[in-house]
Amino acid sequence: MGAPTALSVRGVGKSFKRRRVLDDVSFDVRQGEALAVIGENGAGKTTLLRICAGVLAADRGIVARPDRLAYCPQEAGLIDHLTVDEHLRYVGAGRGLSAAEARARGGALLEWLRYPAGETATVRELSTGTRQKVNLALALMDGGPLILLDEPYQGFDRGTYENFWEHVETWRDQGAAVVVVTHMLAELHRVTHVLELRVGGGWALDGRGAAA
Amino acid sequence: MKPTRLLTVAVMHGRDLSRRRLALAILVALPLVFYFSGRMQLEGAGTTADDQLWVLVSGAMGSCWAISVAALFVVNGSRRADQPLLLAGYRAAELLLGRVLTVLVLAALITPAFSVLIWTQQDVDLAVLTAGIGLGAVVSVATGVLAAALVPRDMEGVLVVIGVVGVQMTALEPWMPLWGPGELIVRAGGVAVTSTVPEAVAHALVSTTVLMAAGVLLWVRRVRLQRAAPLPAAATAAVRDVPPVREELAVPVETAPADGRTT
Repeated sequence: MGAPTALSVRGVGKSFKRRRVLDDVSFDVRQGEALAVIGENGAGKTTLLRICAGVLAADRGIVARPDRLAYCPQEAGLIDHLTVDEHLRYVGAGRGLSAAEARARGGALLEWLRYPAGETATVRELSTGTRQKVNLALALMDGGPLILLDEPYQGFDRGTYENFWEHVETWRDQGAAVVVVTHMLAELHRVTHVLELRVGGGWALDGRGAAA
Repeated sequence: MKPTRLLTVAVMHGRDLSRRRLALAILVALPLVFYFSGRMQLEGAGTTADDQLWVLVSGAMGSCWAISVAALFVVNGSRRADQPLLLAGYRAAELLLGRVLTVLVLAALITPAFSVLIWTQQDVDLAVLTAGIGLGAVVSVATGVLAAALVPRDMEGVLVVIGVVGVQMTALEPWMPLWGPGELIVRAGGVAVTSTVPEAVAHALVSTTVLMAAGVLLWVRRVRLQRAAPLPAAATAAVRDVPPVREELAVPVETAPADGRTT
Protein backbone atom coordinates (compact mmCIF):
# COMPACT_ATOMS: atom_id res chain seq x y z
CA MET A 1 0.00 0.00 0.00
CA GLY A 2 1.38 3.42 -0.96
CA ALA A 3 1.78 6.49 1.20
CA PRO A 4 -1.40 8.43 2.05
CA THR A 5 -2.64 10.95 -0.46
CA ALA A 6 -1.95 14.56 0.48
CA LEU A 7 -3.58 16.18 -2.56
CA SER A 8 -6.25 14.72 -4.79
CA VAL A 9 -7.48 16.55 -7.88
CA ARG A 10 -10.38 15.07 -9.83
CA GLY A 11 -11.87 16.40 -13.05
CA VAL A 12 -10.89 20.00 -12.44
CA GLY A 13 -11.83 22.44 -15.17
CA LYS A 14 -11.47 26.18 -15.47
CA SER A 15 -12.20 28.72 -18.16
CA PHE A 16 -11.70 32.47 -18.27
CA LYS A 17 -14.50 33.97 -20.34
CA ARG A 18 -14.50 31.71 -23.40
CA ARG A 19 -10.90 30.55 -23.05
CA ARG A 20 -10.54 27.06 -21.66
CA VAL A 21 -7.49 26.83 -19.42
CA LEU A 22 -7.92 23.53 -17.57
CA ASP A 23 -9.98 20.62 -18.77
CA ASP A 24 -10.80 17.63 -16.61
CA VAL A 25 -7.41 17.57 -14.88
CA SER A 26 -6.94 14.68 -12.43
CA PHE A 27 -3.97 13.57 -10.37
CA ASP A 28 -2.92 12.59 -6.86
CA VAL A 29 0.16 13.54 -4.91
CA ARG A 30 1.07 11.27 -2.03
CA GLN A 31 3.17 12.03 0.99
CA GLY A 32 6.84 11.82 0.09
CA GLU A 33 6.19 12.65 -3.55
CA ALA A 34 7.01 15.76 -5.54
CA LEU A 35 5.06 16.80 -8.61
CA ALA A 36 6.44 19.29 -11.11
CA VAL A 37 3.85 21.22 -13.10
CA ILE A 38 5.29 22.34 -16.42
CA GLY A 39 3.95 23.92 -19.58
CA GLU A 40 4.30 26.97 -21.74
CA ASN A 41 3.09 30.39 -20.74
CA GLY A 42 -0.69 30.52 -20.51
CA ALA A 43 -1.06 26.76 -20.09
CA GLY A 44 -2.75 27.15 -16.71
CA LYS A 45 0.02 26.22 -14.27
CA THR A 46 -0.59 29.10 -11.87
CA THR A 47 -4.36 28.68 -12.24
CA LEU A 48 -4.09 25.01 -11.28
CA LEU A 49 -1.94 25.76 -8.25
CA ARG A 50 -4.28 28.52 -7.11
CA ILE A 51 -7.19 26.09 -7.34
CA CYS A 52 -5.22 23.49 -5.37
CA ALA A 53 -4.47 26.10 -2.67
CA GLY A 54 -8.10 27.15 -2.51
CA VAL A 55 -7.57 30.77 -3.47
CA LEU A 56 -9.40 30.34 -6.80
CA ALA A 57 -12.61 28.44 -7.48
CA ALA A 58 -12.66 25.77 -10.15
CA ASP A 59 -15.58 25.73 -12.58
CA ARG A 60 -15.92 22.00 -11.99
CA GLY A 61 -14.15 19.11 -10.33
CA ILE A 62 -13.04 18.30 -6.81
CA VAL A 63 -9.90 19.12 -4.87
CA ALA A 64 -9.15 17.27 -1.64
CA ARG A 65 -6.33 18.56 0.51
CA PRO A 66 -5.38 18.80 4.19
CA ASP A 67 -6.44 21.79 6.28
CA ARG A 68 -2.89 23.00 6.74
CA LEU A 69 -0.77 23.74 3.74
CA ALA A 70 2.07 25.99 2.66
CA TYR A 71 1.35 28.01 -0.47
CA CYS A 72 3.90 30.29 -2.07
CA PRO A 73 2.22 32.34 -4.83
CA GLN A 74 4.13 33.56 -7.84
CA GLU A 75 3.27 37.14 -6.98
CA ALA A 76 4.60 37.90 -3.51
CA GLY A 77 1.80 38.57 -1.04
CA LEU A 78 3.67 41.29 0.79
CA ILE A 79 2.64 44.67 2.19
CA ASP A 80 4.97 47.25 0.69
CA HIS A 81 5.54 49.51 3.66
CA LEU A 82 6.14 46.84 6.30
CA THR A 83 9.56 45.45 7.16
CA VAL A 84 10.42 41.78 6.95
CA ASP A 85 10.35 41.49 10.73
CA GLU A 86 6.84 42.96 10.77
CA HIS A 87 5.74 40.48 8.10
CA LEU A 88 7.04 37.60 10.20
CA ARG A 89 5.11 38.85 13.23
CA TYR A 90 1.97 39.54 11.19
CA VAL A 91 1.85 36.11 9.57
CA GLY A 92 3.06 34.43 12.76
CA ALA A 93 0.20 35.93 14.78
CA GLY A 94 -2.25 34.37 12.32
CA ARG A 95 -0.70 31.01 13.07
CA GLY A 96 -0.88 31.61 16.79
CA LEU A 97 2.85 32.30 17.25
CA SER A 98 4.24 34.88 19.64
CA ALA A 99 6.45 37.60 18.17
CA ALA A 100 9.56 35.79 19.46
CA GLU A 101 8.47 32.46 17.97
CA ALA A 102 7.64 34.07 14.64
CA ARG A 103 11.03 35.78 14.52
CA ALA A 104 12.83 32.55 15.41
CA ARG A 105 11.05 30.41 12.84
CA GLY A 106 11.04 33.00 10.11
CA GLY A 107 14.62 33.94 10.85
CA ALA A 108 15.75 30.32 10.44
CA LEU A 109 13.97 30.09 7.11
CA LEU A 110 15.46 33.35 5.92
CA GLU A 111 18.91 32.22 6.99
CA TRP A 112 18.45 29.07 4.95
CA LEU A 113 17.48 31.25 1.99
CA ARG A 114 20.63 33.34 2.49
CA TYR A 115 18.61 36.43 3.22
CA PRO A 116 20.86 39.38 4.10
CA ALA A 117 21.20 39.43 7.89
CA GLY A 118 20.26 42.62 9.68
CA GLU A 119 18.04 43.91 6.88
CA THR A 120 15.62 46.48 8.26
CA ALA A 121 14.24 48.00 5.05
CA THR A 122 10.59 47.85 4.12
CA VAL A 123 9.87 45.17 1.53
CA ARG A 124 9.24 47.70 -1.24
CA GLU A 125 12.92 48.60 -1.04
CA LEU A 126 14.07 45.01 -1.56
CA SER A 127 15.18 43.43 -4.83
CA THR A 128 12.88 41.01 -6.65
CA GLY A 129 14.88 38.01 -5.53
CA THR A 130 14.99 39.12 -1.91
CA ARG A 131 11.24 39.80 -1.90
CA GLN A 132 10.73 36.30 -3.25
CA LYS A 133 12.83 34.86 -0.44
CA VAL A 134 10.59 36.63 2.07
CA ASN A 135 7.53 35.34 0.21
CA LEU A 136 8.80 31.76 0.40
CA ALA A 137 9.81 32.04 4.05
CA LEU A 138 6.36 33.35 5.03
CA ALA A 139 4.67 30.51 3.14
CA LEU A 140 6.77 27.89 4.89
CA MET A 141 6.56 29.33 8.39
CA ASP A 142 4.16 26.74 9.68
CA GLY A 143 5.08 24.01 7.25
CA GLY A 144 2.30 21.54 6.70
CA PRO A 145 2.04 18.23 4.94
CA LEU A 146 1.36 19.83 1.57
CA ILE A 147 3.67 22.42 0.00
CA LEU A 148 2.49 24.29 -3.11
CA LEU A 149 5.14 26.45 -4.78
CA ASP A 150 4.60 28.60 -7.86
CA GLU A 151 8.03 29.27 -9.37
CA PRO A 152 9.31 30.24 -5.94
CA TYR A 153 12.93 30.75 -6.97
CA GLN A 154 12.45 33.70 -9.33
CA GLY A 155 15.28 36.13 -8.84
CA PHE A 156 17.21 33.77 -6.54
CA ASP A 157 20.98 33.75 -6.77
CA ARG A 158 22.53 30.49 -7.98
CA GLY A 159 23.45 29.14 -4.54
CA THR A 160 19.97 29.67 -3.11
CA TYR A 161 18.42 28.19 -6.24
CA GLU A 162 20.43 24.96 -5.93
CA ASN A 163 19.75 24.86 -2.21
CA PHE A 164 16.04 25.15 -2.96
CA TRP A 165 15.95 22.07 -5.16
CA GLU A 166 17.97 20.09 -2.62
CA HIS A 167 15.34 21.04 -0.07
CA VAL A 168 12.54 19.80 -2.28
CA GLU A 169 14.13 16.38 -1.91
CA THR A 170 14.54 16.88 1.85
CA TRP A 171 10.89 17.82 2.24
CA ARG A 172 9.90 14.70 0.34
CA ASP A 173 12.11 12.56 2.55
CA GLN A 174 10.40 14.09 5.55
CA GLY A 175 7.01 13.02 4.28
CA ALA A 176 5.65 16.21 2.79
CA ALA A 177 3.95 16.26 -0.60
CA VAL A 178 5.43 18.99 -2.79
CA VAL A 179 3.95 20.55 -5.92
CA VAL A 180 6.23 22.93 -7.83
CA VAL A 181 5.32 24.98 -10.86
CA THR A 182 8.53 25.27 -12.84
CA HIS A 183 10.07 26.08 -16.18
CA MET A 184 13.36 24.46 -15.15
CA LEU A 185 13.18 21.20 -17.06
CA ALA A 186 16.76 20.32 -16.08
CA GLU A 187 15.55 19.75 -12.51
CA LEU A 188 12.82 17.25 -13.33
CA HIS A 189 14.96 14.34 -12.14
CA ARG A 190 14.39 15.65 -8.63
CA VAL A 191 10.63 15.02 -8.70
CA THR A 192 8.56 11.86 -8.74
CA HIS A 193 5.91 12.99 -11.23
CA VAL A 194 5.60 15.55 -14.00
CA LEU A 195 2.29 17.11 -15.00
CA GLU A 196 2.49 18.89 -18.32
CA LEU A 197 -0.25 21.37 -19.07
CA ARG A 198 -0.94 22.52 -22.61
CA VAL A 199 -2.51 25.71 -23.87
CA GLY A 200 -6.20 25.02 -24.50
CA GLY A 201 -6.72 22.63 -21.60
CA GLY A 202 -4.83 19.49 -22.59
CA TRP A 203 -2.58 17.78 -20.10
CA ALA A 204 -0.36 14.74 -19.61
CA LEU A 205 0.86 13.07 -16.43
CA ASP A 206 4.30 11.48 -16.65
CA GLY A 207 4.12 11.63 -20.41
CA ARG A 208 0.74 9.95 -20.66
CA GLY A 209 -1.82 12.21 -22.23
CA ALA A 210 -5.27 12.37 -20.73
CA ALA A 211 -6.90 14.98 -22.92
CA ALA A 212 -6.45 16.59 -26.26
CA MET B 1 -12.31 36.39 16.52
CA LYS B 2 -9.21 36.85 18.69
CA PRO B 3 -8.47 40.32 20.11
CA THR B 4 -4.70 39.82 19.87
CA ARG B 5 -4.93 39.05 16.17
CA LEU B 6 -7.30 41.96 15.64
CA LEU B 7 -4.81 44.25 17.37
CA THR B 8 -1.92 42.86 15.32
CA VAL B 9 -3.81 43.63 12.10
CA ALA B 10 -4.63 47.17 13.28
CA VAL B 11 -1.05 47.88 14.38
CA MET B 12 0.52 46.53 11.20
CA HIS B 13 -1.76 48.53 8.94
CA GLY B 14 -1.23 51.58 11.10
CA ARG B 15 2.48 51.24 10.48
CA ASP B 16 1.92 50.66 6.78
CA LEU B 17 -0.24 53.77 6.54
CA SER B 18 2.09 55.92 8.65
CA ARG B 19 4.94 55.19 6.23
CA ARG B 20 3.00 56.40 3.21
CA ARG B 21 4.11 59.87 4.09
CA LEU B 22 3.38 61.58 0.79
CA ALA B 23 -0.10 60.08 0.54
CA LEU B 24 -0.84 60.99 4.15
CA ALA B 25 0.42 64.53 3.63
CA ILE B 26 -1.89 64.94 0.63
CA LEU B 27 -4.83 63.48 2.55
CA VAL B 28 -4.33 65.97 5.36
CA ALA B 29 -3.46 68.89 3.10
CA LEU B 30 -6.35 68.56 0.68
CA PRO B 31 -9.21 69.45 3.08
CA LEU B 32 -7.06 72.28 4.41
CA VAL B 33 -6.56 73.57 0.87
CA PHE B 34 -10.29 73.25 0.21
CA TYR B 35 -11.08 75.18 3.33
CA PHE B 36 -8.46 77.92 3.23
CA SER B 37 -8.83 78.61 -0.48
CA GLY B 38 -12.53 79.19 0.23
CA ARG B 39 -11.66 81.43 3.16
CA MET B 40 -9.33 83.49 1.00
CA GLN B 41 -12.16 84.07 -1.47
CA LEU B 42 -14.27 85.43 1.37
CA GLU B 43 -11.67 88.02 2.28
CA GLY B 44 -13.23 90.53 -0.10
CA ALA B 45 -16.36 92.57 0.43
CA GLY B 46 -19.90 91.28 -0.03
CA THR B 47 -19.60 87.84 1.51
CA THR B 48 -22.89 86.36 2.56
CA ALA B 49 -23.88 83.77 5.14
CA ASP B 50 -24.33 81.30 2.29
CA ASP B 51 -20.72 81.88 1.22
CA GLN B 52 -19.55 81.22 4.78
CA LEU B 53 -21.62 78.06 4.88
CA TRP B 54 -20.28 76.85 1.54
CA VAL B 55 -16.69 77.17 2.77
CA LEU B 56 -17.54 75.37 5.99
CA VAL B 57 -19.27 72.48 4.22
CA SER B 58 -16.67 72.11 1.48
CA GLY B 59 -13.87 71.95 4.06
CA ALA B 60 -15.74 69.37 6.13
CA MET B 61 -16.54 67.29 3.04
CA GLY B 62 -12.85 67.47 2.15
CA SER B 63 -12.02 65.85 5.47
CA CYS B 64 -14.60 63.11 4.77
CA TRP B 65 -12.96 62.50 1.40
CA ALA B 66 -9.58 62.15 3.10
CA ILE B 67 -10.88 59.56 5.58
CA SER B 68 -12.60 57.58 2.80
CA VAL B 69 -9.41 57.49 0.76
CA ALA B 70 -7.38 56.45 3.82
CA ALA B 71 -9.79 53.55 4.34
CA LEU B 72 -9.46 52.66 0.67
CA PHE B 73 -5.65 52.64 0.89
CA VAL B 74 -5.61 50.55 4.05
CA VAL B 75 -8.01 47.91 2.71
CA ASN B 76 -6.69 47.82 -0.86
CA GLY B 77 -3.01 48.33 -0.06
CA SER B 78 -2.69 44.79 1.23
CA ARG B 79 -4.78 43.18 -1.50
CA ARG B 80 -2.08 40.70 -2.54
CA ALA B 81 -1.57 39.67 1.08
CA ASP B 82 -5.25 39.02 1.85
CA GLN B 83 -5.49 35.38 0.81
CA PRO B 84 -2.04 34.40 2.14
CA LEU B 85 -3.10 35.89 5.48
CA LEU B 86 -6.31 33.86 5.41
CA LEU B 87 -4.25 30.75 4.66
CA ALA B 88 -2.05 31.71 7.61
CA GLY B 89 -5.06 31.35 9.88
CA TYR B 90 -6.70 34.78 10.05
CA ARG B 91 -10.44 35.13 9.74
CA ALA B 92 -11.70 37.55 7.12
CA ALA B 93 -13.55 39.51 9.83
CA GLU B 94 -10.32 39.96 11.79
CA LEU B 95 -8.50 41.34 8.77
CA LEU B 96 -11.22 43.79 7.78
CA LEU B 97 -12.17 44.91 11.28
CA GLY B 98 -8.51 45.42 12.21
CA ARG B 99 -8.05 47.67 9.19
CA VAL B 100 -11.23 49.60 9.98
CA LEU B 101 -9.87 50.11 13.49
CA THR B 102 -6.69 51.61 12.01
CA VAL B 103 -8.64 54.17 10.00
CA LEU B 104 -10.95 55.01 12.89
CA VAL B 105 -7.90 55.83 15.02
CA LEU B 106 -6.59 58.07 12.23
CA ALA B 107 -10.01 59.73 11.99
CA ALA B 108 -10.08 60.24 15.76
CA LEU B 109 -6.78 62.11 15.47
CA ILE B 110 -7.61 64.23 12.42
CA THR B 111 -11.25 65.24 12.80
CA PRO B 112 -11.13 67.00 16.22
CA ALA B 113 -8.05 68.92 15.07
CA PHE B 114 -9.83 69.99 11.91
CA SER B 115 -12.93 71.02 13.86
CA VAL B 116 -10.86 73.17 16.22
CA LEU B 117 -9.06 74.75 13.26
CA ILE B 118 -12.38 75.75 11.68
CA TRP B 119 -13.62 77.03 15.03
CA THR B 120 -10.64 79.39 15.20
CA GLN B 121 -11.56 80.75 11.77
CA GLN B 122 -15.36 80.92 11.83
CA ASP B 123 -18.21 81.48 14.21
CA VAL B 124 -19.39 77.88 14.68
CA ASP B 125 -20.71 75.67 17.46
CA LEU B 126 -17.60 73.57 18.14
CA ALA B 127 -19.41 70.66 19.78
CA VAL B 128 -21.94 70.27 16.96
CA LEU B 129 -19.24 70.74 14.33
CA THR B 130 -17.01 68.10 15.94
CA ALA B 131 -19.97 65.73 16.11
CA GLY B 132 -20.81 66.40 12.45
CA ILE B 133 -17.28 65.93 11.17
CA GLY B 134 -16.73 62.92 13.44
CA LEU B 135 -19.93 61.28 12.25
CA GLY B 136 -18.90 62.12 8.70
CA ALA B 137 -15.61 60.31 9.31
CA VAL B 138 -17.46 57.17 10.45
CA VAL B 139 -19.65 57.20 7.32
CA SER B 140 -16.55 57.87 5.24
CA VAL B 141 -14.72 54.83 6.59
CA ALA B 142 -17.62 52.68 5.44
CA THR B 143 -17.61 54.44 2.06
CA GLY B 144 -13.89 53.73 1.67
CA VAL B 145 -14.32 50.07 2.59
CA LEU B 146 -17.08 49.70 0.00
CA ALA B 147 -15.00 51.47 -2.66
CA ALA B 148 -12.07 49.13 -1.90
CA ALA B 149 -14.34 46.10 -2.21
CA LEU B 150 -15.90 47.36 -5.46
CA VAL B 151 -12.80 48.21 -7.49
CA PRO B 152 -9.45 46.48 -7.73
CA ARG B 153 -7.04 49.39 -7.62
CA ASP B 154 -6.50 52.52 -5.57
CA MET B 155 -6.87 54.87 -8.52
CA GLU B 156 -10.34 53.64 -9.45
CA GLY B 157 -11.29 53.70 -5.79
CA VAL B 158 -10.20 57.32 -5.40
CA LEU B 159 -12.38 58.19 -8.39
CA VAL B 160 -15.36 56.43 -6.82
CA VAL B 161 -14.87 58.37 -3.58
CA ILE B 162 -14.48 61.65 -5.46
CA GLY B 163 -17.75 60.84 -7.21
CA VAL B 164 -19.58 60.16 -3.95
CA VAL B 165 -18.32 63.35 -2.29
CA GLY B 166 -18.97 65.36 -5.46
CA VAL B 167 -22.58 64.21 -5.75
CA GLN B 168 -22.92 64.89 -2.02
CA MET B 169 -22.52 68.60 -2.81
CA THR B 170 -25.42 68.61 -5.29
CA ALA B 171 -29.21 68.58 -5.02
CA LEU B 172 -29.06 64.80 -4.56
CA GLU B 173 -27.58 65.30 -1.11
CA PRO B 174 -30.57 63.92 0.86
CA TRP B 175 -30.08 60.57 -0.84
CA MET B 176 -26.34 60.44 -0.20
CA PRO B 177 -24.61 58.82 2.79
CA LEU B 178 -23.12 62.05 4.16
CA TRP B 179 -26.45 63.89 4.37
CA GLY B 180 -26.74 63.38 8.16
CA PRO B 181 -23.25 64.71 8.99
CA GLY B 182 -23.84 67.53 6.49
CA GLU B 183 -26.97 68.58 8.37
CA LEU B 184 -25.02 68.74 11.63
CA ILE B 185 -22.24 70.76 10.02
CA VAL B 186 -24.76 73.26 8.61
CA ARG B 187 -26.41 73.45 12.02
CA ALA B 188 -22.99 74.11 13.58
CA GLY B 189 -22.67 77.10 11.23
CA GLY B 190 -25.76 78.63 12.80
CA VAL B 191 -28.06 77.99 9.84
CA ALA B 192 -31.52 76.56 10.45
CA VAL B 193 -32.09 73.08 9.02
CA THR B 194 -35.30 71.11 8.69
CA SER B 195 -33.95 67.91 10.21
CA THR B 196 -33.56 67.20 13.90
CA VAL B 197 -30.26 66.02 15.40
CA PRO B 198 -31.58 62.48 16.01
CA GLU B 199 -32.73 62.29 12.38
CA ALA B 200 -29.30 63.35 11.13
CA VAL B 201 -27.53 60.88 13.44
CA ALA B 202 -29.90 58.05 12.50
CA HIS B 203 -29.35 58.73 8.79
CA ALA B 204 -25.59 58.56 9.29
CA LEU B 205 -25.77 55.34 11.28
CA VAL B 206 -28.07 53.65 8.77
CA SER B 207 -25.82 54.79 5.91
CA THR B 208 -22.77 53.44 7.70
CA THR B 209 -24.45 50.12 8.37
CA VAL B 210 -25.62 49.69 4.77
CA LEU B 211 -22.31 50.74 3.23
CA MET B 212 -20.25 48.64 5.61
CA ALA B 213 -22.45 45.57 5.18
CA ALA B 214 -22.19 45.85 1.39
CA GLY B 215 -18.43 46.41 1.63
CA VAL B 216 -17.90 43.43 3.94
CA LEU B 217 -20.02 41.12 1.76
CA LEU B 218 -18.20 42.08 -1.43
CA TRP B 219 -14.77 41.98 0.19
CA VAL B 220 -15.31 38.59 1.82
CA ARG B 221 -16.63 37.26 -1.48
CA ARG B 222 -13.46 38.45 -3.20
CA VAL B 223 -10.92 37.04 -0.75
CA ARG B 224 -12.65 33.91 0.58
CA LEU B 225 -10.88 30.59 0.35
CA GLN B 226 -12.52 27.68 -1.43
CA ARG B 227 -13.59 24.75 0.67
CA ALA B 228 -11.73 21.56 -0.11
CA ALA B 229 -13.24 18.13 -0.21
CA PRO B 230 -11.99 16.04 2.71
CA LEU B 231 -9.21 13.55 2.16
CA PRO B 232 -10.04 9.94 3.04
CA ALA B 233 -10.04 9.55 6.82
CA ALA B 234 -7.00 7.26 6.89
CA ALA B 235 -5.03 9.64 4.74
CA THR B 236 -6.02 12.61 6.87
CA ALA B 237 -4.83 10.94 10.05
CA ALA B 238 -1.52 10.02 8.48
CA VAL B 239 -1.05 13.43 6.89
CA ARG B 240 -1.40 15.14 10.23
CA ASP B 241 1.37 12.98 11.65
CA VAL B 242 3.96 14.51 9.38
CA PRO B 243 6.42 16.63 11.38
CA PRO B 244 6.20 20.32 10.63
CA VAL B 245 8.40 21.35 7.76
CA ARG B 246 9.63 24.42 9.57
CA GLU B 247 11.89 22.55 11.99
CA GLU B 248 13.79 20.82 9.26
CA LEU B 249 14.15 23.94 7.18
CA ALA B 250 16.38 25.48 9.78
CA VAL B 251 18.87 22.68 9.19
CA PRO B 252 21.34 23.34 6.37
CA VAL B 253 21.05 20.77 3.61
CA GLU B 254 24.59 19.47 3.99
CA THR B 255 24.05 18.61 7.66
CA ALA B 256 20.43 17.51 7.47
CA PRO B 257 19.77 13.99 8.70
CA ALA B 258 19.39 11.66 5.77
CA ASP B 259 16.57 9.62 7.16
CA GLY B 260 15.99 10.70 10.74
CA ARG B 261 12.58 12.24 10.33
CA THR B 262 10.98 10.45 7.50
CA THR B 263 7.52 9.03 7.83
